Amino acid sequence: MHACIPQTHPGSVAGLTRRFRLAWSLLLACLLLPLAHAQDSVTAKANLSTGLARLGETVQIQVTVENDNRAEIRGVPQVPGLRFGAVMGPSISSFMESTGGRMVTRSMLRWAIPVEATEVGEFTLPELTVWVGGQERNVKITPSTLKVVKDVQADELGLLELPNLPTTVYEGQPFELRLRVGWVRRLNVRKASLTLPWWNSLPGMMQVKGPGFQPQTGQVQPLMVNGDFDLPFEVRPDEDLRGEPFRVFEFRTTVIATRSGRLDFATSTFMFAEEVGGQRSRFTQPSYREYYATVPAFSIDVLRVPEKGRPLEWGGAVGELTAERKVSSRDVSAGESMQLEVTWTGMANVEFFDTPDLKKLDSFSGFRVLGHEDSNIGMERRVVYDLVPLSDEVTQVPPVPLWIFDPATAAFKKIETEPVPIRVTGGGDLNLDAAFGPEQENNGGGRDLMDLLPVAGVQAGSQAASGKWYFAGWAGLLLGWLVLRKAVRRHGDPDSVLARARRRALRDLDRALAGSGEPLPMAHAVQRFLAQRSGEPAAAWVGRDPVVWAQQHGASEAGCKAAERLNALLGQLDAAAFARSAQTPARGELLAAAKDFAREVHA
Amino acid sequence: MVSFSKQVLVLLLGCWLLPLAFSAPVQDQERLSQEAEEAYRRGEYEQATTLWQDALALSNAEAGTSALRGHLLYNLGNAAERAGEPLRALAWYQAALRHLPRDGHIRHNRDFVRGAQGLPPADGDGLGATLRAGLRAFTPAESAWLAYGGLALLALALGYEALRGGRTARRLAWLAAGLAVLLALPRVRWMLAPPGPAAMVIAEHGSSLYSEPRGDAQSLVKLEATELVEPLDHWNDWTRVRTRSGQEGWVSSVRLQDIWY
Repeated sequence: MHACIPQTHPGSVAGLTRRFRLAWSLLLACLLLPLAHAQDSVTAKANLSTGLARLGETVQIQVTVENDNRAEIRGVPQVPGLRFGAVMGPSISSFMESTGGRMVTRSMLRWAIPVEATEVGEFTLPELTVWVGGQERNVKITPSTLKVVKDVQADELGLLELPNLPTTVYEGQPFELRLRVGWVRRLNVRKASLTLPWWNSLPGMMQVKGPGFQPQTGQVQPLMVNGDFDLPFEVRPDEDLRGEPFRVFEFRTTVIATRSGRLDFATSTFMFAEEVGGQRSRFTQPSYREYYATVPAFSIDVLRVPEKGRPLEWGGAVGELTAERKVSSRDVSAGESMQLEVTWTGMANVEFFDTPDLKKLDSFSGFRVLGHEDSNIGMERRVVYDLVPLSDEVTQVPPVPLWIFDPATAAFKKIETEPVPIRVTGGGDLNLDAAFGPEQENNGGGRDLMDLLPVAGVQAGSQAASGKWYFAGWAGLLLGWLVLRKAVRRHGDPDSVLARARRRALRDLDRALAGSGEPLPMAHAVQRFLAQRSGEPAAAWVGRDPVVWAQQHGASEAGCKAAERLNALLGQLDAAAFARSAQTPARGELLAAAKDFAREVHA
Repeated sequence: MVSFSKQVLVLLLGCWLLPLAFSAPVQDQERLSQEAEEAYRRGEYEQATTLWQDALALSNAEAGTSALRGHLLYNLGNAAERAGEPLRALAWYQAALRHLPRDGHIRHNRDFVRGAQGLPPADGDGLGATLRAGLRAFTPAESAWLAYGGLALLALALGYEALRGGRTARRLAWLAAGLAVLLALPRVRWMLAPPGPAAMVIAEHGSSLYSEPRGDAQSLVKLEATELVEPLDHWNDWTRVRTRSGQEGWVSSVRLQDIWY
């Protein structure tokens, strides 16, 4: 037995088919090869915008990832002397590319990482960790070193100062923070901003609340700080510095260090940019030359208020204060309320100290202290005490003492208000509890309980209302609405033109009769009324008997009588119009008949 | 057989005497309250509390809410606060608010006492808290009346729509439907959280929730001061309660103040 093996011949059909298959496979491989290559070509690059920067200048690291739309930058490196900002982006771009005769879609993700130079020196940038292709990849930043130099020109042409800052303060002690910035007047400066890394980020340092800095010149120039918010700088008169006139701007505020330790102020930078490059036109972007004036990092030591010599009455006041007082009245009756206003003013932590509690002072035993109101504005603390002198033996409002810690002498001292002589008359058997309520140790700063509520005559009964039928009410209401709606619409659409005309027939008749006293127009008005009620044109009612119409529509006896009455009145109107002898029926009579007709006869 | 005229006479007499029968407890309540107020003014807060509690006992607690009981509970709160029991006062105010949820006096005193005790505001902050406070500003009865009012408005609007039709009537019906839903919200709130017996933790530092009614039992959780719990059972000086999170356990009764009056 022989197996049937096909013999192929180069010139045969089978041979041609085999060659064709081979050629097709080669072609397919050529087409798929670039595609496979394209799928593998996920790339990541990181470039530093410059290898040389000035102190305070911000440079950028541009990170580019190709062909992976899910790439991420997970964290930025930490390099002492450089401050890395938040990663911006990514921006995504995609484009088509012809590879080996095929169109391939490529995508590109770009991020920007701002890097601010806060110290002079040469810094090596570590590799950046990028999550790409489903795994972490370290990407080298090129160039990998950043050299930071001081901007010598900015030191000559610009101004940035934080003058008269103390090197040590006590916790709670307020001190003035002044920022002076500026530039040589001859520069055409168009942009300026401040970078103060320590602003609002120093632990325990806070600005004193209040009206804030009041500019003396009245001119204020806002300056952007940390790219986030504006600070109002006062425009100061030009000053001669380094032999040249400078434009100067100043900001002042008062701050308090609330906890002991060290306040580290990182390098502050003032960027100002002059416009260069000739005339600006509609078609050209202005170019700028930027300068970076800096103040090197410094620190302030915050000391603890000493325990030694600290009186028990000390309520946390630190600084320099003066006390003033005034009373609402110097001539009062025993048992009558009077106000004592005490104001402490000065460079101290006025917001934060505890004011004296007069109830605890023996010197105020001649008074009942009802309460007090406490407020502070800027560097002033004001407390209004509500006092009641208890007898005519009281001759003065005693001094109000306050213990403060004086940072200048590093010692505690007591300041007092001047006593206020008063005259108290009357007295006798005072029932202050009845008048002002029982005395409280702590009544919450001048507020107190509201008094009892009356019981007599108050509604004793219950307002009980059960809501158990409520949802049944909803269902019933909707059902009723549907039924009523269907029933009404069985006779036609109530909003149709004819239905609306029918409803307003009486009103139209009333209006038409009011507008004319002549019999013919009145007759026409009645015919129009009948036409509106019957849903027919007005011409259909010329010479037509309403009684017949009513009978045809099954009107009741009352309906027929109403039709007869209306017909009689119509006849009178015709007679009055054409014979001019008969009397015109009254409007009221016509309306009453029409109303009866409308009520009794339905089409 | 009693004659018809006599029957009528007895009926009339009954109708005349019936209001008197109901007004007697009210008069007693007013008398007791008067005495309580006098004791309060004299600074005898325990005596005032006892008298106001007696007056409170004369009213029918099952009959829903009433302004009278709201006032009595508020006065009890004042007496407790003056007697140096601020947390008990808060419990009384909370009980009073169930009867008069929008009363300015009660809210003021509650907030005052909370502030003096360093407790956070009862109603909280933010839009959500404000909306919840708005829903709580009505008693169950008031919320039912509001809901029925909304339903009546809707009935009028739907009736008009059924009889007259047209775009204006349809718009009115939608408007009334929206209003009815809005007015039903307090009612829905009460349905979701029906009013029921509640008690407040009045111990200054809170209280432990014990697994059994004895002090050496296992402490399940710490209940904060002014926390509201649902009393379930009593055994000697212990109360079995359920917390808002659904946990059940025993609390010493002296650390609780009933606020369901």
